[in-house]
Amino acid sequence: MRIAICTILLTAATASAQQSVSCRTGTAQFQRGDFQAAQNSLWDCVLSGFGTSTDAYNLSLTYRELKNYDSGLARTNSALQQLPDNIDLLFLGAFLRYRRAENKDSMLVLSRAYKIGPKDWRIHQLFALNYISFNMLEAAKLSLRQAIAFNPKNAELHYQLARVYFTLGSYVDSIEASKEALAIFPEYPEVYHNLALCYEGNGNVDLAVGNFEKAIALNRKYKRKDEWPLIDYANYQRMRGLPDASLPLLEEALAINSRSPKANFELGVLLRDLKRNQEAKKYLELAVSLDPCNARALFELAILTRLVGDAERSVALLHRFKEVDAQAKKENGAGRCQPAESLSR
Amino acid sequence: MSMALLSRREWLALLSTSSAFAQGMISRGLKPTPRGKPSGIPFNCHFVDVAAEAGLKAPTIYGGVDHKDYIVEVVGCGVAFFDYDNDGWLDILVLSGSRLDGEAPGATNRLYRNDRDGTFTDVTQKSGLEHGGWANSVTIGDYDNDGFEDIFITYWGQNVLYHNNGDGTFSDVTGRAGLLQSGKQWNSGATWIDYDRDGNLDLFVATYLDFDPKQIPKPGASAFCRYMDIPVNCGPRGLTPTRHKLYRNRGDGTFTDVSVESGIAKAGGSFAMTAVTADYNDDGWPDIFVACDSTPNFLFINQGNGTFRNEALERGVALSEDGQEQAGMGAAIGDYNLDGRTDLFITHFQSDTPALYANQGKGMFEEISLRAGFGVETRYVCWGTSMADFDNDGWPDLIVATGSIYPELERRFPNYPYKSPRLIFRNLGNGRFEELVEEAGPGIAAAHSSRGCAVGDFDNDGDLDILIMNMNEPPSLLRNDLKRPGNWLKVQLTGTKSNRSAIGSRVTVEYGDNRQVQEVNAQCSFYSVNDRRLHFGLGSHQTAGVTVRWTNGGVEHFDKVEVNHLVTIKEGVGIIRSARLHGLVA
Repeated sequence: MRIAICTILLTAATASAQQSVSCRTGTAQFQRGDFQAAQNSLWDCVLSGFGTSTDAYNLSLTYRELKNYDSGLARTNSALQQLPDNIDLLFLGAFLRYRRAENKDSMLVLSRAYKIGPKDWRIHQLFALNYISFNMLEAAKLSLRQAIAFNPKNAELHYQLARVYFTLGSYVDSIEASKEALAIFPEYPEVYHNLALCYEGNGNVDLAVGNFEKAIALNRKYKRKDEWPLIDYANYQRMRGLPDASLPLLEEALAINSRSPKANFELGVLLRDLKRNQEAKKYLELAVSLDPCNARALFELAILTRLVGDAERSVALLHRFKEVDAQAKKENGAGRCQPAESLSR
Repeated sequence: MSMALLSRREWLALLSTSSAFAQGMISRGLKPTPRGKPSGIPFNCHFVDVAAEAGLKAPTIYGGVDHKDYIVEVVGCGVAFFDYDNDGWLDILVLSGSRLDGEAPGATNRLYRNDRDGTFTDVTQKSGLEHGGWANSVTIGDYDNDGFEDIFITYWGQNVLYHNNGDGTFSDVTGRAGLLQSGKQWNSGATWIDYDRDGNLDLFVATYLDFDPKQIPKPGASAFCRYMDIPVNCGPRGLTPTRHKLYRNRGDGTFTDVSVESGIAKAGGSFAMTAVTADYNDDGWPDIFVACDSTPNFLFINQGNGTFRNEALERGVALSEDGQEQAGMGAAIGDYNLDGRTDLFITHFQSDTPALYANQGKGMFEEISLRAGFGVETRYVCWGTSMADFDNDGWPDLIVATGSIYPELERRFPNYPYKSPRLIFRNLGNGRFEELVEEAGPGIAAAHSSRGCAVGDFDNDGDLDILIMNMNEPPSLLRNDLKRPGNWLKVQLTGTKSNRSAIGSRVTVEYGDNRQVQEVNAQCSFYSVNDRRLHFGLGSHQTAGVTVRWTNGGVEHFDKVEVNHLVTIKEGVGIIRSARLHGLVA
């Protein structure tokens, strides 16, 4: 009897050790970007019951990278039949549904998870993301606050809350949330970027400029290829009547991502302001070709095309603009527009 | 930092597709652009509100005071500066609304006669203009060419045409003129226009939307009935736009509805507000611009054959610079850059900028609002506006009347006051404008919930004053006390072959190297009418050349016209009077 018990304990200990190995291996694979291998290891880890919430979170992130949502959901559903109250699996199921834009289903699964783990910050964060998809920003704000209450040292949550505040136009609150994020992680470029946009909204020129430059400097320091602070800063400089300061920023943005519709668009608009209409047209054409469903770019191009004397093409572009604009309104911004072949010349 | 559930791009995209601005009134949710350093150039105007001492004491009743359940209560109405008794002094007409919930004692349009001593006498009753109901806009013109200005007023309900009898009284001739409407329509902007250039003023009437309080949802009932999460009156988005009308003057005091054959009836889908006529494409035929609320604006281009075509999109004035609809309320026209072309300035809702459309020639426009400096102002709902040279420096400036439509908002969001100041945008002469509030005097800085405004020289002292309608308050009469007067010239036109009011005639004044055009119109700003005497600030220039292109196409030129005079030019006759203005008698 004693031997049998020892054997069982030993077997369990061995299994535990093996599963711990899968958790450690999965984490290592995840950290070095081997997401396919990490996905397999982290599944073993989560199913063993020895994984942490971080392991499950990382597992969900492998799906973000590999985008194999269907197989992930099938595996999650199967596992949930065995372990229906496993909060990690419920979280994963909700996340995968969220990624598949099945927001209502995601919310239903999250509701189940919430009953099991009402203090799990991941659940509240995912609730928030779903709320944003439903354009329920106030609810998203509350969910992110809840997530922060259960995981106050997570800089990302503070940043996300800051973005929601920004979108709601609550710049003061967004600045506060950004500062919380920076207190945890002082070299968070996105947060400086958000701060810059908030100060821009508040009309505080010096702080807007300072934070744009900090965000850009951090990206340069860590060799992060993020063109967005450059684009927004360039736009801000143009609005301030400083086109010469705007130009090199947009050139740097395009050096990072030459296929950025936004950077090409902004450069087109800037060059138009500088009365360099032919060059402006080139960049606006590029912006439209990169994002044929961008109504704003189409409109700008149509007006500019008319200004440079091509009335016929301007009318065609306006016609296309009307289609795209109507479609965007019909789809409530979801944008199912189809590129028009006739316009790509 | 560790990885996140959403990539940075996904996160940004997610928030960019969510709109925090789903509401009845459209707004682009713009942040103000940074204000540059002040120009430091002194502004010589000082506006003081003299309404009370001038005798303009009756409040303009318009809907509820603390809350407004329906959109009809919030839109407000226009005002007019005009000379109804031909005595050379501007009189004042202030329209009025009503109340939906109960009595509205004293609610009537009011006519004030200029007493030539800085005061006005209320002659409403004596003149026959006493009229309740929900008035919106006014257009003034001598439709029967008898030498006296007539009045047309639009209503939520039956519009009214008042014939000026020439003896200080008016007669309601709506029925006799053939302008009765079936059903209760919400008529909005209206303007006299001689679209066929036959010498008789025709009439364009815009409509806002289909409004029946029994059918309209209550505040808070849908996304279009909430603003910043507060239940507010619904619309215009979510409600149904209606069709617009053109009436041709038969020349015998009656009108024919030509909406269908003229092509005006084809235009739909927009909530039309102020209508402003001008020859935007410089082909000699008067066109019609209509500022539209939360929907694309109209620019009806006169085809010269009795028909119009809406070419607003093609000509660049339907939408904002970035292709978005805006809440067009009021419109001003003028030649801001002295290039001899008629430019357009349009006012919008808060969290958006007013828009300046520069006429690039032949009626092709380019929006240059941000480049011109208007991006600094996104705080207020903007309404009445005029492009006028207030400081007589030779460059037309802009006045904007402001005021929220949601009195409920202020209780929760003090930063969104119901009453807000007026704005002056001073033309710096380099393509840019500088916003002035306190610098322009207490009359500008004072907060009201204003709507229509008109510009004119009520005290005949050679500078332009401002009349503003305030919701449920007496109007403001802002006297311009110019500190360092520049030279000026006023031109009054009298048509003979063209319509007698000369509506649609164009005056070009040349001073030094500058060349400025203005056109006589019968409605602009917000539902309002300006002084018909065209006023040109000339700066230090001592003489000016004047060219008149009459509505019917005839051109007359006058060299070396003496400045600081009002010149009256009669079509085919020439300058029949050149008079110094002597200001107030008393």
